[in-house]
Amino acid sequence: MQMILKYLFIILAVIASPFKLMAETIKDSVTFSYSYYSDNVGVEVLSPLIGLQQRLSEKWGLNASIQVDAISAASMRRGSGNVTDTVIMDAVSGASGRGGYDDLRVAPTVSFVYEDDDFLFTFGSYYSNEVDYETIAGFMELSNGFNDANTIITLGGSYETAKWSPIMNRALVDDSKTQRQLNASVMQLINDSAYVQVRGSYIVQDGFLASPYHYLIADGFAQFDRYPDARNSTAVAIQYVGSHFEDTSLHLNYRYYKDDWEIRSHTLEANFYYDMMDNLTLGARGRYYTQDGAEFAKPIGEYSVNDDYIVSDYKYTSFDTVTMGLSCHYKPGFFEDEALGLQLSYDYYSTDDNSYIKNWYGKSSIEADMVTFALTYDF
Amino acid sequence: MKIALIMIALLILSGCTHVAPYEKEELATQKMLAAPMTTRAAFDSHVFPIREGSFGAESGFSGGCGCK
Repeated sequence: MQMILKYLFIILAVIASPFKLMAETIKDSVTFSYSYYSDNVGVEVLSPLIGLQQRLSEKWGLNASIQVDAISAASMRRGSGNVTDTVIMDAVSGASGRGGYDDLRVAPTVSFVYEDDDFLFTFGSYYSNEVDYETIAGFMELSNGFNDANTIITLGGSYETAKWSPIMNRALVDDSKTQRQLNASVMQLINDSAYVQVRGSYIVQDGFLASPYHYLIADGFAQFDRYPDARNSTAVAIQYVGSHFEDTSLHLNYRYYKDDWEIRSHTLEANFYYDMMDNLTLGARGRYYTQDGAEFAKPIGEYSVNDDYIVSDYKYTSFDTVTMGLSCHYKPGFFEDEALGLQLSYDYYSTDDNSYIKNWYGKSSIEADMVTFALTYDF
Repeated sequence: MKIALIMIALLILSGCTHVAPYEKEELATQKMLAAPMTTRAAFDSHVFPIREGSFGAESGFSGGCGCK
């Protein structure tokens, strides 16, 4: 039954790809991008990507890219103060004390696109390898426009399987993790300058879902994080995009998320874009995120060694975040047909004060800077 | 919540006018894309699920990032 469901997920896989009005989806282009993340708890990520989009025939196209994440993180001290410095290799949430990069993630992706009038079909695969975690996945999407593409329905999904290999040779009872995701979206034009898109995702995860490095030290015991081995999630979002004043657009997005760990979250995001010139668009955004903690996450200090589940990772507790950023998109006029496109963005991200963050990182909250730069050339 | 979503959907659909292909010039501009800043959107879908406890229903989806 599980195998049938697995393949059903793959076959039905739908991907809510960016809305492109079903026109000229496949272009010959090459992209170089560089993304940077740095926060106050010592995590730094440099992430260059090279991508190629090539039309293979009238209706077929190829997308290929390779991304590298060079991750470094500083030593971290347990907030409880009753243990010595602990060096742990967890580039995502923790740190190692070595200089240079602690982890290098390499992630190639290949996908094919079939385009025929208002019909779009994409399928592909990606692979990701880092020192302690390996992933392979397949994904598909099917998109169809109706009524002169005034309505576009997209269905898609993915199947991802991963394997943990903790660097400190911790033996896991189950070192695998799988994720199946179904997506659906409906885009509806409201008029010639506004549309709305409703999106939904259903996600099933199972296997080892905690970080193998997170652990809790309390009076009389030290235990690694223990979570349930399955998690079913649902996310629904609605996005409005409209141009109400000349040369401007407003993007309003709301997402509601819930899962069977009893995590509930609300995400509100607003983006404003302004065409300063024909070839220069400036943008500003604000994002607010709030979530409730998992039902098994207790106030830190109330855990006992016999608890079924133990949490030290703040991600599964109650907290809020705020993101504010600026962006610009520029197409230099001295390139024929504006073939070169540049994108640049900066965002500031912060969480509110959280006792779990304090306990793990020694800081009350996480504050991060995020920068992206991209250069695309159409040939 | 469900009632509110249905009301919003009905309100939107009742106000829709048919847009002919030749009337889509404004909709095709960069600022009207669901995610005009494509690289930032991709990075968002990388960073936010790592730093926050929820994910899904993003404006762009390419199967995930494969990150832990």
